[in-house]
Amino acid sequence: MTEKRVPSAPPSATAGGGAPPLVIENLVHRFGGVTAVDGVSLEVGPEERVAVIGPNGAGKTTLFRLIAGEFVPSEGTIRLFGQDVTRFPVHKRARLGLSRTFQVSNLFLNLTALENVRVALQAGRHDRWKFWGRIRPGDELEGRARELLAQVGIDERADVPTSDLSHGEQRQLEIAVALATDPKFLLLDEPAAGLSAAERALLRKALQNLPRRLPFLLIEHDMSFAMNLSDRVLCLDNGRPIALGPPDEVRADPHVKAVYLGRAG
Amino acid sequence: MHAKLQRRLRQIAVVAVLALIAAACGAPGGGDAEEPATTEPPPATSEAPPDTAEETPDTTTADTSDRETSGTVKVGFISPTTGFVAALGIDMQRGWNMYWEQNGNVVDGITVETVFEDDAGDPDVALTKARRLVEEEQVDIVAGPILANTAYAVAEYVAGQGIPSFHITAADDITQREYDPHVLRVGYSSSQTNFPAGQWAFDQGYQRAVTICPDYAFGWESCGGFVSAFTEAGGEIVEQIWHPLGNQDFSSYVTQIQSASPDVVFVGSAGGADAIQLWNAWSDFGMAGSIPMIGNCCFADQVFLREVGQDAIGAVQSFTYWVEGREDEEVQAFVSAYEEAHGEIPSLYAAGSYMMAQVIAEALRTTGGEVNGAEFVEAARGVSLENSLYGPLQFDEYNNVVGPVYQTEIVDRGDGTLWAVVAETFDEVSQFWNKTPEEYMQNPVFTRDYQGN
Amino acid sequence: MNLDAFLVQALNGLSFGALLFLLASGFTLVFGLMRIVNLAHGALYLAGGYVGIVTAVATGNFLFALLAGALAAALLGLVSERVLLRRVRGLELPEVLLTVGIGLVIADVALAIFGGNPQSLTPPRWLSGALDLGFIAYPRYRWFVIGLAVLVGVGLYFVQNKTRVGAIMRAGVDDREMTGMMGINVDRVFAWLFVFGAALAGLAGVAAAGQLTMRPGADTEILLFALVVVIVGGLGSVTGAAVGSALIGLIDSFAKVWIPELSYFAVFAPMAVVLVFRPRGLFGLPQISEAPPPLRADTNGRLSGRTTAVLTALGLGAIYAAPYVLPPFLVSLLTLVFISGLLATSVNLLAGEAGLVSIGHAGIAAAAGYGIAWATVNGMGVGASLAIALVLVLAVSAVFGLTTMKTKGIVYLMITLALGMVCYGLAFRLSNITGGQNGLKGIARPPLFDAWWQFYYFAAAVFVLAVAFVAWVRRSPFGLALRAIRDSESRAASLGYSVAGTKFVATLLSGLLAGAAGMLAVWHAEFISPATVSFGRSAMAVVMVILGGTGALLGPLVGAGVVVGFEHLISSYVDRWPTLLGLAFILVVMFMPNGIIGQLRSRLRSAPRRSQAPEALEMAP
Repeated sequence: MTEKRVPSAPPSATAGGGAPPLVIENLVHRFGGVTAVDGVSLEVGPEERVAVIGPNGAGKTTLFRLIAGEFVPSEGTIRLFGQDVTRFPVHKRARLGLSRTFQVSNLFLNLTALENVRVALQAGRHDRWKFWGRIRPGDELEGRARELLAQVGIDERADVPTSDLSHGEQRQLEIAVALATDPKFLLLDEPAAGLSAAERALLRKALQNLPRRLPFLLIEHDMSFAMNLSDRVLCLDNGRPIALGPPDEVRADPHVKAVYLGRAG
Repeated sequence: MHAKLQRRLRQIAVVAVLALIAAACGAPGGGDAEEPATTEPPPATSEAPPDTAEETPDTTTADTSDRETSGTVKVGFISPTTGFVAALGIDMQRGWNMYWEQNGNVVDGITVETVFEDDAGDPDVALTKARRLVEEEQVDIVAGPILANTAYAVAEYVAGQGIPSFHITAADDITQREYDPHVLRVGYSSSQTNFPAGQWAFDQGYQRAVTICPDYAFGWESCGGFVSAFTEAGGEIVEQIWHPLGNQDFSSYVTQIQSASPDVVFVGSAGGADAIQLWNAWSDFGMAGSIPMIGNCCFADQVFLREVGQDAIGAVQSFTYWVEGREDEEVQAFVSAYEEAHGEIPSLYAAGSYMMAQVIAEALRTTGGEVNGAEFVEAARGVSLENSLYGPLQFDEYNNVVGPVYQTEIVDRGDGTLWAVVAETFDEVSQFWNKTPEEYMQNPVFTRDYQGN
Repeated sequence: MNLDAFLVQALNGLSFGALLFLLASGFTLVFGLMRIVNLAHGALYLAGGYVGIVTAVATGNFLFALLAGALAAALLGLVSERVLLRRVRGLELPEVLLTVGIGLVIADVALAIFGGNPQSLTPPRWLSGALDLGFIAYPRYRWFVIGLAVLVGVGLYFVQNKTRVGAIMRAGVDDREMTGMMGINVDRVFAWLFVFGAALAGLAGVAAAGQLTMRPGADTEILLFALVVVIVGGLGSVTGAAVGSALIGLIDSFAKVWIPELSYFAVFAPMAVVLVFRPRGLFGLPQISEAPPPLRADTNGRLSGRTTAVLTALGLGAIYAAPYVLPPFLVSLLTLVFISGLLATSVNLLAGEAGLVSIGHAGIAAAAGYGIAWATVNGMGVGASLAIALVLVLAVSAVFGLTTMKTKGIVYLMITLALGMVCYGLAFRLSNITGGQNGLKGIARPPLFDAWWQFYYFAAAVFVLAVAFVAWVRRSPFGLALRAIRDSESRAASLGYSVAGTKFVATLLSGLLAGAAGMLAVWHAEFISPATVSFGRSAMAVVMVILGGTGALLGPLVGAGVVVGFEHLISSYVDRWPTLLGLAFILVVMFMPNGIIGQLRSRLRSAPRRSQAPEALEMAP
């Protein structure tokens, strides 16, 4: 509803060579009679962290799923590292280096945390077809897996079956699994959903510790969580962007306040 | 530490498996006190001690010496007392037992002992039971089983052990192209009773016939007998309906027969549920008595008659060997004794088992109680009865019965129960009908495609 | 075919379909609402039918008979649910084993009470004969059955959509937890629904008794038809059951006239079409067929290295010693245990690792068996026989793999069921090659292991190698991938795994093991016939796996020991052995829900990682 022109390019423009990780132009998506996403444009730079916030029904999830590749937008384009992926299916985007977490826990519950990460690490390699050789305990993949678990803070729980992990630990594991595929761009789907304050703190730390060279886009309902992690924040309302900028700016934006605290008419 | 242990374990496992394979080439047959087996491994040969290895028929006489009767002959009786043909198996046991109860189980001083086994209608189980009977119980004779495939599996094994086996029915070929001197059928081949049926049908003036038989060997053979004789006489087969074994709903077939409107319908059923279901559908559609129906040996037998209604009376002519209503002293004595003991009229499975027992008893008389493989079967083949439950009976050189085929009618016995009575008798019918064995066997065995016409 | 004949054939199809509807509706309701695949449903039908017949004879009143049959089945259902089933609610595989056991007991007790003679119910006078409508005359009783089915169908529809109970039922299907939280005792409602489903089965039995016959084996035969109907119509949908049964009945009826040679297979055609284009069935509910698998207790746990070593040594030693200690007959029985155990192991590979339960594996085994048999009968040597068997096994496994690689859960089960039945039909039909019902005999063993003890060692060695192979696969990267796919196909796909490809390869591996079992089987008996490919054989393989503990390496062997022990050994001494076998299943499920090995494992494990309670969680859809 706002006419304010929002800058779509980040302040630190891409230093020469290399397309930006993510560029969205005028993305529109309609479901039946509803326009869930209404003209969103955004660019995410090579070492940038962007959060997308907004109240329920703002279109965050739809936007996320469009980027992830679950469906094709009604209008607009999406580019990953310069490549037009607007019509690409999920696994093709994955091959370009896109990785995502799931909001509803979609881990391998009967496997241990370590095995979850290992399976992800194994995915890109030929020996995922090897049915004759044993997995040697302590091999290279296991080492890497433990590293990733440490990175997100759950290395002590490596050998616990995933279904025994707490909700917060599972969210941390989600991230470890997403990292295991050595992504170049990460999508995080409401990672803090349903976590207690303590768990949220742990998760925030894990995300902050992610390498800078891995840009991510995260959607989140919890404004403060999102603000603390990101370089820029995009706020949506009814599918439209109403504010985009550094966290402090967006927090102070009157439209954003109105949207979160109730509207005047 | 773990890894090393597990690697060692794997090595042990591999070595052990190799050892097992090596053992297969050199270990002895084991066993307990019953086996006078050697205990040291024979050198590199792959044969085990003689009395545990498969025997060829030539060695029978030498090897069955330790089976020689010391006044007792053991018979292993295999029949399906559970499973989908349980009714047949139970009847078989009853008929068998009735013979020994009525005549005593001591024949010229030799006691006949029976060990019963249930094969559940499954060939693998039948084979296990046959093995148990031969190896554990050390039976001298095997009787049964009844289903063609179980019979084949067992006969093959038992004959290989040099032990005689007796059957009531089984596939045609067991006494023809697959003849084995250890196997005797105290009964008629599936096509045998239907040759006279085909001839008779044409003689009655029926020109056009429809046949309905189950779509497997027994059905092909039953229909084949009728079709070959009927067409030889000059009749025309309008349509041949083959229904899947165990078919539930026969209404479609009844409707088909109605549409074809033949002069006569031939039913080559294996009996039991199929027969009853076919009849019920036939009757439901009001067809009972409207088109003449000819049945084979086993269509309208007692299992059938116990269940169907009064409209079956006079509606089916069967060609069979066991007629429970035949006016003959021996037959009626058997029927009353059986009915008193079990509350129902004996079926052909009961009668057949009784006959098996009788033939075995007679053979024992001939051999003086000695059971030496094929020799015993020869003695059985030599049995010739002036009268029996089946009538005057003898065997051909292929170990099959040559005897009367009766054309029967269904009547009410007078007390509400239905049974079959004789309308006409065809004497001395052979499994080869009107051909010599060589001529007959030049043709292939009856199949869906070869029906002799 | 003129119009009259067409009409009559259509009515034939509809009257058979009516019976199928009566039976399938109860089955689909129970599955849809309680997620229980009640394999005792056929036995309830049988029991109801027998009771109906006896009541009709005793009282002369047909309607009494209908009532009595339904009540008898309902009673059996009540006892089953109250005493047995509720102890294992939510645990799919134990439920399957339990219902199989219950079905066995009921069917055998019925045999003991009512005898083996096929029996039917004489319809009352007012339902006898044909109703002459001028252009056609059609049996009254069949009109009645059609009418009864319509009545029941309308009644069910009304209850489901217009009553409070129905609303609860529908809510319970959609969201069990929420319904429970609304203060409704969902468990109790569902329990009564189970009883109701049983009553429907009993009613179907009495109705069928007047049109077909009641006899041993009728329970499994009709159950197979009901399964086909339910797959086509969609699990959980009464409308689907109605449409499915009408369709199957009509196809059965017309196929017998138009394509008699293929009428056996004709019934599977709609099922194949449905499974390809709309796996959940014509009216199936997505939340049922796409529900995620329940959590399972950890059966991949490790025993301590020492325990494993000791047990392995003991086991191998026992195998080696057997022919020295036991009589040849028992050794030959042990051989059979290894052979059945091998088939069960092939099933276990897929069931335990990939969560795919195949109830058609006897078909793959038979491909090897028939291949060897045919080659031997045609005078070929051992090498050629094995080559042919290998080609056939790979071909059949490939077919299994291709048709199932994009499915899982109950749809997977149904496809494999159909494939197994097709193999059975082929064994029958291709009689020029397979010998048909008579089978092929004289399939001599290779001279190298001709004697009983040589063959025993050979079979044991093959089995041990197979188990080692499965153990290796489990510990391989491929095995890990399989287990991941079992837990979440979508996640695995998003990581880059080819889910279909992995399942296909797993099916091939499993097929090779099944083929090995088939090879051993045909050489053991020196005979093969369609009985080797029957539904019973495939089902028993699955039963053996569950008995021993799904996923446990030696579970199948233990399960095979139990089943073979009863079928081949105890049956020599006890007449009512099927009842005892059924009771054994029930007892194992009650006291050892993780299976025999699974339960033993919990005791022997060196470091307890979990509570001893069996799978207790189920992810709500």
